[in-house]
Amino acid sequence: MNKSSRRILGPLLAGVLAVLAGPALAHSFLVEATPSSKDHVAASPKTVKLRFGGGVEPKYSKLTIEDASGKVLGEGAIGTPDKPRELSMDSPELAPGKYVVRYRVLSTDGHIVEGNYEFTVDPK
Amino acid sequence: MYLSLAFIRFLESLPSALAVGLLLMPRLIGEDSGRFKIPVAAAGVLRALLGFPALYLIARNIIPSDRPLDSSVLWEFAQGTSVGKAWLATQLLAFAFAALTVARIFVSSDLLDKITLGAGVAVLAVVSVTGHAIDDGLPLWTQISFVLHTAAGLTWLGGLLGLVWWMFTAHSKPPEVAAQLAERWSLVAKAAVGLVAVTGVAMAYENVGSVPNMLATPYGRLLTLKLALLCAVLLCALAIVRYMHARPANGPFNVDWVGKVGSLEAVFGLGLLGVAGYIAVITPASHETDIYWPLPFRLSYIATWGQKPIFPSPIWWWAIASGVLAIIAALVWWTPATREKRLYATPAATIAALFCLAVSFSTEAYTDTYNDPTQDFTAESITRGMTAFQENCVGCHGPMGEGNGPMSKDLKNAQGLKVEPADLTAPHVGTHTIGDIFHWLTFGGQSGVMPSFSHVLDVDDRWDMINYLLILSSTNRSRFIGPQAMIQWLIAPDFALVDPKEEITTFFKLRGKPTLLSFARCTAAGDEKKELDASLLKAAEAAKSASVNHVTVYTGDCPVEAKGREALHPAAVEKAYSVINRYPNVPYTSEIAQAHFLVDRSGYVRARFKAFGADDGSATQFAGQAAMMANEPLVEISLHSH
Ligand SMILES: [Cu+2]
Repeated sequence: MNKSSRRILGPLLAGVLAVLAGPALAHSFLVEATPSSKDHVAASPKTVKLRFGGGVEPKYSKLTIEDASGKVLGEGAIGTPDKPRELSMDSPELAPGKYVVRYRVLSTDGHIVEGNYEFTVDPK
Repeated sequence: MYLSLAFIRFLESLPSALAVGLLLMPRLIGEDSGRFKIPVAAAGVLRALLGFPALYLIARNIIPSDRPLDSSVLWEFAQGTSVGKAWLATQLLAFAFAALTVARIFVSSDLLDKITLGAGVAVLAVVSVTGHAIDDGLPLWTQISFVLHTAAGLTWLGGLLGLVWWMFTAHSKPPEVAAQLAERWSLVAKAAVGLVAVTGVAMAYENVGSVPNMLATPYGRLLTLKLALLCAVLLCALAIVRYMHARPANGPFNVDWVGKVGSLEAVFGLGLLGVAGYIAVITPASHETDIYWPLPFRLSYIATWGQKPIFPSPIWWWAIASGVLAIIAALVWWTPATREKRLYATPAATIAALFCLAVSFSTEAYTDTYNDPTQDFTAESITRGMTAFQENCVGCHGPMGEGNGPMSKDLKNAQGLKVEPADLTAPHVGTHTIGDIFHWLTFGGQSGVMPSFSHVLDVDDRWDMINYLLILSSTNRSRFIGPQAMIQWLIAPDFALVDPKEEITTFFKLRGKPTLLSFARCTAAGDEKKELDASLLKAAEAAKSASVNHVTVYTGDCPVEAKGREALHPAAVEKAYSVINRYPNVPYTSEIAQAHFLVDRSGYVRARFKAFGADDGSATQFAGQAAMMANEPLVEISLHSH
């Protein structure tokens, strides 16, 4: 404790280092997904479902599934009126291996939310 | 793209604000508004027309760039999205306002003037609805705050611009009229700025999320800049107010001077509007992922005074210095001999006192100190972190993180001094932010011995590791969990549940009611199996009769009737909870033969039962604890902050 508070003085006197980091202008409010990030699933999922922290607009949104090499295997964004925060897509039959789910969705406040995550289909 | 969008928003709100200001000024002193009619109409029409480039830029931001934007695409966009609909509504209002301002050129009517002013303020109010205000994740009072904030803020700015315009074009008017206008305007301005402040705080509460975010995120830094500009504006206003008060009644009124200070105030105000326009289109700090703490220190009670520092230590000396300076400040203020200098000396000594006090609360910080985890505090994440820990960390930190790995004896720093690996189960781990730990994993530890793990563990992996370390740090205390409810401190890791309707469901969503979380391995045979089966059935029955949720993580051949809701990844859940399934003097195992955790309605682990024996009183004890917890107030646990 003593050591660390002595170390504080220098920096404090050094003053304000108002370093502006380059802004990454992307929201990240994917709340949940099935399969979820880094999930291991036993069999190819029938659908991929994503839930966001706010309402999303399916017409201006896109979900894609890619294999490990980046090849797009399927895309789409299906929403249902009674679940304005969820989007899903039908998944193609997936062989065991690693896949990336990529999303670019329009949230109702007019902002684009982008991101991606990985999941794995385990060998039988 | 964001910059052009921000700029168009700035450009769009400026003419409407000016129009409102020019409508307002003559009204304040009952003056004929004839000379402002044409500029007001021009501003009104300009606002309405600027709506179109704004729509183009909004849509361009959203629709992928490979798709050309023609009028039919834009029309479809305007009708088919909430932001488009919000744009349509604001645009209709803007055109109504423009029509009214034009009508005023031909018709002189007090009623028409009033309606036009009202419409103008409405146009200002809805500026925010094409921004964050329509985020349906925001509570209603925040959404209302947005509308009031822009209405009041832009009315104030427009009024200020109108006042400056008035002052510089009023050479034929007597100074008394100018003084009267300035006085009446200052009443309106006070009310508007007050409303701006209140609604601003309400919005910041929702959109910034925490005090450090004011410096650690682009949004927060801009908001800080906005506050600084607001201070500058208020200082200008204060100067004018002081002038008005010092002026003898019916004495001369210096129109030029007030005009100049007013102009300066307006320039700061325009800067404010520019920042506000940019803030409106970027990611709010509360969901920002780009968190960068710019200072090498932070203020923390837990890491300083919370550690109960012993007397002769820097923390104490800084606090004492602060006290001495505070006394000096007070003496300077009240001692007659120093009265002349007190206006400067007392604030200076006070600032110095506050500085010393701040130093006594400061602790080291890093650029990542306030980072938010990318991985939620879930059993799945903990289990991944545990695996990574076994692969990378046990050499030094030991299999249980106690700092006693095989290599721990011979670690030396660059100076050749012996360094001991941190005991990750020590309570002081909690004085560091999770961002600090993230920083050490990314760039290497404080002592210079622990290397960077950024090439082995990606960002998500590091957060998985931190989730594991968080639960690991509670192992010492968790050994003493018994059937008697303890205080709320141990957060039950969340995990995905199997849902028959294939919905996304998690353990954490069961909160609201207490939950019995049962683990068992039904792999034995004979009497042992009978005993276990009986215990599990009794647990299920106890949960049912206490009407609490029952979640079961069973492996092997457990009785079907004893099963509750099941985990989607039972192996991961068992492993994660095994970390806190400890008992004094019992060696750790990652398997849970049998355990029943009682999780309260907020999501904290509160009690644990080894088994539900035939007549060991467990069921009775359980019923009592569950009944007590069912009536406790609900505590909101944020899985992002520990
Ligand atoms: Cu937003």
